[in-house]
Formats: sequence, structure tokens, C-alpha cells
Amino acid sequence: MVIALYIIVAGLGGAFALGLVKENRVQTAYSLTLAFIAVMALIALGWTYLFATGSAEPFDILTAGTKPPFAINLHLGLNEAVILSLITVAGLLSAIVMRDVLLEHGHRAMAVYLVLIMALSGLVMTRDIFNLFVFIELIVIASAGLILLSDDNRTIAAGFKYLVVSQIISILLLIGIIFVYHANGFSQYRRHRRNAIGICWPSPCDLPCAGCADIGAQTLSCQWLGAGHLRGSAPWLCRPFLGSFQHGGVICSRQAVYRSRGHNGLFWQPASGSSPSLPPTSLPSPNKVTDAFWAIPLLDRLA
Amino acid sequence: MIISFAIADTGVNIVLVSVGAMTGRTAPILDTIAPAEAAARIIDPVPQALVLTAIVIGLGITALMLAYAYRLFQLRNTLDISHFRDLKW
Repeated sequence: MVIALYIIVAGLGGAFALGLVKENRVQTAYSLTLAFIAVMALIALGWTYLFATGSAEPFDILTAGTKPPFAINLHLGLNEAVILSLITVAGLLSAIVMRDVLLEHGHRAMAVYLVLIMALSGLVMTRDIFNLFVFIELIVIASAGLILLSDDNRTIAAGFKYLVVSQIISILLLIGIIFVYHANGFSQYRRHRRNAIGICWPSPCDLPCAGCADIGAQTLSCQWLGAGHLRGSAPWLCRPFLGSFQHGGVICSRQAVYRSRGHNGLFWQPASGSSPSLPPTSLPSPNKVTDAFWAIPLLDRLA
Repeated sequence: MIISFAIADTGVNIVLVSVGAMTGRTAPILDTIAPAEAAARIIDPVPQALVLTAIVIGLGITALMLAYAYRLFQLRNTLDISHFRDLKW
């Protein structure tokens, strides 16, 4: 089976390949777009089948030629494969439905659309909070780019507002990453259900709740953005923005459950059996804080 | 507004690099350091890699915001934020 990293390769490579197609050959570009998304969907569906039938085990994709924490890694299991399949198949169907719109806006819209699907896929697979930030930003850029291509003048103001809000959120996320890195010394998070301190990736039982939250948050945010025309014409544009809130909600609820069970850790630790290649003492700032008010001593240290 | 976001991004990047710095250690370049000793002598390269990526992404976001500003200027012939009624919060 083709390695899952090619989902990202197909999306990004497809976006760049569209630049090689002549401007007047829009139909060719559209066909290429569909082909690249179909390849991504086939890879995701293939892995879903393999995991569902027990023919494959979940695995990590390590990058940068080393192991975490000095590298970034992606993870693929049944949950990730199912969500990837949903994203890519929904992306393919959306591209078919939006055929006229994509043909009207040409190569640029198709390239940005491919980047959007690639970034959503990467967001699902990543196991590194730094990488998470990168994919969230890619989603923001792609979404804002698609909004910018709209012919409706009202979307320009709404898109600018979306960009402003996403910038504020990304700055807060970066500050959060700084605190997490300072407290833990690494940026990996893993799905490890027996480790009650860790942040778990949303499990299948979370999905119905997350889905309900998604629908509600989507409606609310579209209203809040004052972009009813976005909600009516292209609701998926708001979806990446909502994903941040949704995922944050899942994380907060998990932490609340863990704390109610008497666990006093706040942030994640590497899963057992997957210790980093270097001993913990070699990690920078391994100030593991186990108190709920960890920020206070941290701020004291910074002062 | 766009410039203020750029400044805020830069400030956060500086803080992140500062947090990743460790006294008495050198840059994470393995040419002159044996790999076995690297863990004890170099700083963690991950924050620097993140900041490098964040700088690139920040540039993209800034460019996109400038594109929006250009489109808004085309629509209203002004960059005065008080004229953009659609931006009410």
C-alpha cells in the first residue's frame, strides 16, 4: 500500500502542478484537480480498509531523519484513516458539485482548494503540536484565499475579519506552545489511552459529540462573522476555523475528566514504550509541572 | 492593524527562540560535534525550526491581509477602518 505521506504529496504536488497548465486550459486543470483528490481519497480509503480488516497496524511516519523529540512525526491508525477518508471523499464530492465555480475562477481556486484538503489531512495525521500549528495556518491561508477569490463583495469584509480572528488565535496558540514546550521540553503528543495524563486524540466515541458541536459552532460562527452568504453558499469555508474551537473543546473536556479522576497532570507525555531517542535529561527545560496552577511558578521562573 | 499583527508575530517568535535557548550550548549543527555528544552540547533545534516556519507562514498571512486590504480599498476607495461597515463586531 502506498505510504500515507503521499496524501500530502498529492495535494501539495497537485497544487504546484496546476501552475504548469496553461491559463486557457481550465478544463484540463479541473480534471487534474479531480484526479489528485481522487488519488488522495484512494490512499485514505485503502488504509481504512487495511486497518478495518486488521491487515495493517497503526504506524508512525518519522521525518527529518531522526526520532522525536528532535523530529516531527505523523501517525496513521484506523481513526485517522477513517477521518482522512471522510475529508478526501467530501473534498472530491465538493469539487464535483463546485465544478462551475472552480472552472470560473480557474487554476488559482483549484490550487488553493487542493492545499486546503491537504492541510486538513495533515491536521488529522500530525502528532506534533508545532506541525499542528503549521497545518492550522495552512488551512487559514487556504480558506482566506478561497474567500478572497469570491465575486461577492460582502465576502471581502467577512474574509478579512476571519483572517484577523485567525491571526489572534494563532498568536495565542503560539504562546500556548511556548508554555507547553517550556513545561515539558518536547512537543509530541500521542494517542495513548492508558496514559491518563496525556491528551488523547478524539476517539470514535467523541465524534458524535464533536459533530453536534461542529454543526452548532458552524451556525453560530457564521452568524457571528456576519457572513450569512458564506453559510448559504460555502459552509465548508467556516469549518477549519471551527475545528480549532472544536478540538480545544474536546481537549478541555478530556482534561476535566482526568482531573475529576484524581490525575493532576495537565499536559501530555510520550506514550510508554515510545521514549525519545535521547534520555529525558538531555531535553531542554524538562520542568514537568504537576500542579494545576502550573502557570504561577512558571511565571515566577520567567521573572 | 496589519503591521501590529506582524509585530506581535515577531515578538512571539523571539520569545519562542528564547525559551529554546540553553546556556553554554551551541547551535544544532552536527558537523563539528560527534553525534554521541550532540545531546549534551547542542540546543534543541525544534523551536528554531518552528520559528523559521512561523516566519514563513507569517509572511504568507501578511501578504494575504495586504491583498484583502487592496481589495477593500478597491471597493471603498479608502483604508479608513471606520468606513468598513461590514466589519462591525
